[in-house]
Amino acid sequence: MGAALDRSVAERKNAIAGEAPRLMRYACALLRDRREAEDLVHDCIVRALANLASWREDDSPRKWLFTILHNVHVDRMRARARRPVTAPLEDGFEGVGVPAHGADVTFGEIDRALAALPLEQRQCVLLIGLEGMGYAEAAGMLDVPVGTVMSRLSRGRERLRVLLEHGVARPATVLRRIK
Amino acid sequence: MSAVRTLSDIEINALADGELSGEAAAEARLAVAAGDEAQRAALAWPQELSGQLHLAYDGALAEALPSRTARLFRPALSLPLPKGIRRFAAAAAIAAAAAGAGYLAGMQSVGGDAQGPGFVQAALGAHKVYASEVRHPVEVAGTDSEHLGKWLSKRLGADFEVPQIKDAGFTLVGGRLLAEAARPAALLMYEDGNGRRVTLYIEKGQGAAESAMRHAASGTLDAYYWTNGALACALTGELDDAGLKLVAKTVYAALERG
Repeated sequence: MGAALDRSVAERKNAIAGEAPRLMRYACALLRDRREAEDLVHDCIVRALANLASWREDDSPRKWLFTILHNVHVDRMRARARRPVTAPLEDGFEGVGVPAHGADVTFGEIDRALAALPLEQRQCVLLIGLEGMGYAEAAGMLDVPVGTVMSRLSRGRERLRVLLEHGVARPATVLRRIK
Repeated sequence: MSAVRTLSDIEINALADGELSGEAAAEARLAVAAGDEAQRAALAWPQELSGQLHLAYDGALAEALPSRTARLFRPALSLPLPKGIRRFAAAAAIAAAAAGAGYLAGMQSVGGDAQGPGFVQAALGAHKVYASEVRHPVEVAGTDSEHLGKWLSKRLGADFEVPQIKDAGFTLVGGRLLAEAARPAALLMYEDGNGRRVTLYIEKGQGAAESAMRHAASGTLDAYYWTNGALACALTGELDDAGLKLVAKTVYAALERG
């Protein structure tokens, strides 16, 4: 039993390690803040390693890990909501460009446009458009019906198109010098 | 023939994402073709957007994980794993670090499958830590090699004499006791006239049959390792390949004589 279990634990850890760069990419795009993203991925991997046994054989490592990442993110937001005074605003910015406060990396226009999307739409746009998940996979991960994913995705993409086309994602106030 | 209906945004997205079945996809494609420019643009947008997303964020794929995260995969860490799994965690983490995930552990990835068993990884690691030590490379000096051999044999629970490999140009510096995954292991260090060091890592054998001499590597470090019923040995160094192999053979012969 030892050898079989040993191998499966090693394989699972390997799979987690192999998936880590994608978790980081998704977290960077989702949060648009390098440090926040690193914290999220770190917590996700801690939780994954502590729950290796909960990984069912028929789940792909990607689905299992992204589900954990999503759950950790939800927990972190809840924890934040309990301390509202220090909580940075995360969502609900319609049409307001929130710059990536990491400041060390600028992802440009697309990053500012993403910042203007509600979290739910951003998740769907990124899981499908960046991570290449199918609708059913994304729905399972987010624990919502497929139809919900479809409408969030559609609205999110349309909003991004408008923002990128018209440059609405730029900071809202533009000061002009008047002679 | 009925007029082709206008597709909803959701349908256009599903078509673009390949989520429609063959028949529905064909019908939807027909509708877009018959539709206006806006519909064709809407069909192209998801892919264009994906391209922009990859351009903006794929850089993260190539970056190493922050060291505190990479450390989670290292063997020494005791994680709150379920009981049944916990005892295998160390070995598993070594395997995880070895295959593909080398960069995560901050190690240079090693070519091929020349990783060798766990004790070889331990040997490579011990060499990295101790061979560069200037003031205290060893715990017990090699001046009394007989005493050193007896002490380490006793702690390992496996009899051996400290091999002398002056024939290969290396003199004994000394040795130390290591704790590798709660098992005792011995590390003997040798040095040549140019100050180049090799280390011999010895663990008690697990009763495995005698193995041929094999090669493993990590970064610029090479190791030759072998086992017999009583001992598992690995000779590690940064010499050229032929040189290290010669030393390994000398060590092997000396241990057999002992």
